[in-house]
Amino acid sequence: MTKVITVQNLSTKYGQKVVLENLSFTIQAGEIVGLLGANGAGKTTLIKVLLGMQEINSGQVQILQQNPHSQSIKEQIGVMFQDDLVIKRVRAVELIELARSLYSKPLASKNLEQIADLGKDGKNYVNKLSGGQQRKLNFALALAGDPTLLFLDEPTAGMDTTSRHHFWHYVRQLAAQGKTIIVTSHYLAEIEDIATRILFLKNHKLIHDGSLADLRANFSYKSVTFKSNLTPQQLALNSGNLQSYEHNHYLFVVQDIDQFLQELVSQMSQIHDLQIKETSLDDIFQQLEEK
Amino acid sequence: MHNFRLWTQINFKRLIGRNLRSFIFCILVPAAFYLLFTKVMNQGMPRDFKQTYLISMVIYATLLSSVITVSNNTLADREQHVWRLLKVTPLNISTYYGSLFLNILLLSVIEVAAMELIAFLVVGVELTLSNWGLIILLATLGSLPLMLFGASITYLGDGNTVNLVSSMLVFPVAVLSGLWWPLSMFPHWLQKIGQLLPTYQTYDLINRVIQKHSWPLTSILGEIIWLIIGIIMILFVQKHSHAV
Repeated sequence: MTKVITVQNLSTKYGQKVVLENLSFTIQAGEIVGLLGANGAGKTTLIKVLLGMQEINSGQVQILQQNPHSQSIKEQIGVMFQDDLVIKRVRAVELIELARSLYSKPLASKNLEQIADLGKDGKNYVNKLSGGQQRKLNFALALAGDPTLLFLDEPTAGMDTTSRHHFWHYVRQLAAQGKTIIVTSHYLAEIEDIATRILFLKNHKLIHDGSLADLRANFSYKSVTFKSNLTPQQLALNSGNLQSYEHNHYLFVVQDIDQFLQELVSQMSQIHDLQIKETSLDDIFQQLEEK
Repeated sequence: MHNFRLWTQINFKRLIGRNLRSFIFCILVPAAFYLLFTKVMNQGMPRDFKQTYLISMVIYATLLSSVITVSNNTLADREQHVWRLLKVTPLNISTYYGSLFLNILLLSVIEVAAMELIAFLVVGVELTLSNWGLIILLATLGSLPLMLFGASITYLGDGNTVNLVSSMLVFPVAVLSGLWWPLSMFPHWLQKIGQLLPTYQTYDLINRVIQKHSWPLTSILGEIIWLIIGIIMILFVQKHSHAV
């Protein structure tokens, strides 16, 4: 496998404030990496470092086996930032042509217009498009050069549900083509669906680097909800943690589900609406943040 | 080359074709001054005043577009994340600034031609065809260092700072180089400073070429020195700025 990104002992500061602290990881070609962390954890700064937009204080960074500042790698990189490129008094189709003109082997205009889902709005000025349309247009701009490495920073923020669905469908197609994708999102369920690997940043440090399965193994639990007229004392369940009890509604967090169900089964006649849910990335995220 | 042509075309549309308000401002302000001083407050003015004041107002028009229009547009580009393309895509700085400056040069040509038309049709200035052409050529070339200063200002800070600095540059330079009032009205030491300014060099160059048919080497050299200073300045601020 080819190494696409290599980061060793990376640290960087804004003035005196540490924004990334001693990060090390490598990303191989074809991986889809979810970059997670709370606001201010350092996700966008890390992307800026990888793109050569932010200087580092120590450590080493290589992108496509070259320095991030190297001009030659830019043909192979596509970026969709959180804040959109919106040039006033320029039409959407013109912006697509401008972006295409920068690359030696760009995607076809029609293809990009389709990705941007412009329809009849292609002739509108970019600043007159809706926020969601601007996001889709910026996604198309990121793909203009047919990149092998794609950075998506909060890509679906501002998109409606249908657009988000189409967007991730297209990202899956890109992944199937073997492109390397690094994505940050606040919609963790979306990351859960697509990422083959999770990098979790907390307080500017990398606290988890592995697959979602690893993450689940380390933070695995299930949430169990049910209704019962019994009080918690009468239930006397020892193997789960009672998270909430209100108007006969119970929520337990359980690590050993088999043990928990064995305890529960003797009182099953007084248990209603039993539901068992898998740990979601949202739940794990909460746990990691609270640790 | 394809991307330079396309960027130049689209910059023309967004800076000139679709931005008539700014375009008209760059022509109307100097035109209003010119008409005010030549048609209304023209008592006791020297005989060649209409012609010399035309040169002043032509340079003032190019000063406005080169400093204010350039700094406003590069500021807008920064705020609209166009500069980010310089960092993350193969767009190079020569294409970006080259296509921008080419359009501002074209804007200068249009402005100067419009001022000449007013001078000819309304004020009654008469010059040979070659002299009309020389004014357009020299005023436009003289705006090159001013564009570099306009672009450099954008790196100095946020929108307020950029607007403040560009205004503080344009109006004192216009006054000190004698574009609004004759330089002879100022104290001797202030005249000496005014004569060093790039706008004065352009004024002196055009005036001498038109009136005395001579090419003053000191003004040409002055223009070249200001151009070099402008290039050094933009390279310096560009290298030391993190404004993306």
